[in-house]
Amino acid sequence: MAAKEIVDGSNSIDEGSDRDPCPICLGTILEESYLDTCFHKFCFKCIKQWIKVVSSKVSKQLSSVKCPLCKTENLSIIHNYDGHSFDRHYISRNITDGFVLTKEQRYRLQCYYTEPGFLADVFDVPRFWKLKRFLQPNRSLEAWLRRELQALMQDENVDIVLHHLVGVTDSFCKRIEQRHKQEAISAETIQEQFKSVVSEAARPFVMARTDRFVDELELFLASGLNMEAYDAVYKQRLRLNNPKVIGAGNEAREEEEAENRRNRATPYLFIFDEDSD
Amino acid sequence: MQTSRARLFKEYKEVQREKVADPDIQLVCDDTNIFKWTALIKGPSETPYEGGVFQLAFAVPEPYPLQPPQVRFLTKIFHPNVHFKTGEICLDILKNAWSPAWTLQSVCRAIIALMAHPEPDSPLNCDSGNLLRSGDVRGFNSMARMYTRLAAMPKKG
Repeated sequence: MAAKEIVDGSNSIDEGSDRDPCPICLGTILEESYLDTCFHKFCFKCIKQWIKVVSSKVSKQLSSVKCPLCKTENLSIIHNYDGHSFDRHYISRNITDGFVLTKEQRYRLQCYYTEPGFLADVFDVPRFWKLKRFLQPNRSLEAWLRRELQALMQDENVDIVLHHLVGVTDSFCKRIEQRHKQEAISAETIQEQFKSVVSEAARPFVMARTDRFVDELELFLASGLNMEAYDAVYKQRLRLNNPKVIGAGNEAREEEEAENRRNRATPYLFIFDEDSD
Repeated sequence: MQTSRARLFKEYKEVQREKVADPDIQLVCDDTNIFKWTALIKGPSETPYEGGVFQLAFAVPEPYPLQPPQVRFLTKIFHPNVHFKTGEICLDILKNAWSPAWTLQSVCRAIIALMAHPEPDSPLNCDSGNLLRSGDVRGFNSMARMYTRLAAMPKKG
């Protein structure tokens, strides 16, 4: 009785919208998300719920989940995509309910929502290339890259990608240094090559944000600052541009305090404490 | 509550639409309780169940589709993976291999497939399983056909 009434009543409403329904709730997909290997689509909530059920049945933490449709093992759910960026929910983090960005990492992500060339007037990027400053080792680079990758990939463990990128930049610099002894290369060419080499290395991991990531990396290198000083400049600019952030004065101060505490607590931020210049 | 109900309504709708498409399965929802369903399935051809119509009872649990429905045969059937007295079915997808992408309709299809392809190595009906395991296909077939005739065929007159 109840079934018939309700079903008939809703017939006309969702007849058309259910052409590609979520396999779990059979309704229109809400918060569309898909599994990273087989690309099957589900409501974000539905698939998360299912993963919770699956993980409650095993004693150890799940690292992957079988697609309910095709049984392919998947490591993460991709969701919140808008053509430029997306979020990634790793199955292994399901129980603790996810990787939580630290304030520092959140601030870095925020930087990616600013216009490109955000700090172009503060740091002289062309001069960095002209003076071949990239040939000098930058001791803050690794720590900066680590945090950047953690924020972008939303993953604590970025060691492999980090070493990959550091290796690629190192070998690039060495190559340029050697070539430079034989022939003159213009600063623009070096800059261009550097960016394409790093893009290529980073793209599989930071994907849609690759170009901006390379710009940010270049900016950081060009600044010649260590991480703390660089952050100070960046944050100041962020606040000037975003009154909402200053608006909450207390919050901003609290944030800063929390940051200081974290800096003290996070050893790797300390390694490069002295001025890198 | 809400999720399982909403999903069952969707299935109900789908069943109404698919009725013509799959003449081997007739799924009916209880008039007063959407969590209770019955199904009539036709015995697959070229099996000892051919010509029989078997009734299944579904009890859908609250967390459905995160948990599988409970299904049993109401019609007596001689099959290695069906308990002869209770009608309980031994089928992986109704236990640990369950996926929320299954529907009541597709579960019926899986049961029809199980009827055509028994798994004598995980028997609920040992007599039936032993016949198959010892290679006595003929003996198995005649027993199964006898019970199909007795229990699953409409009596004439």
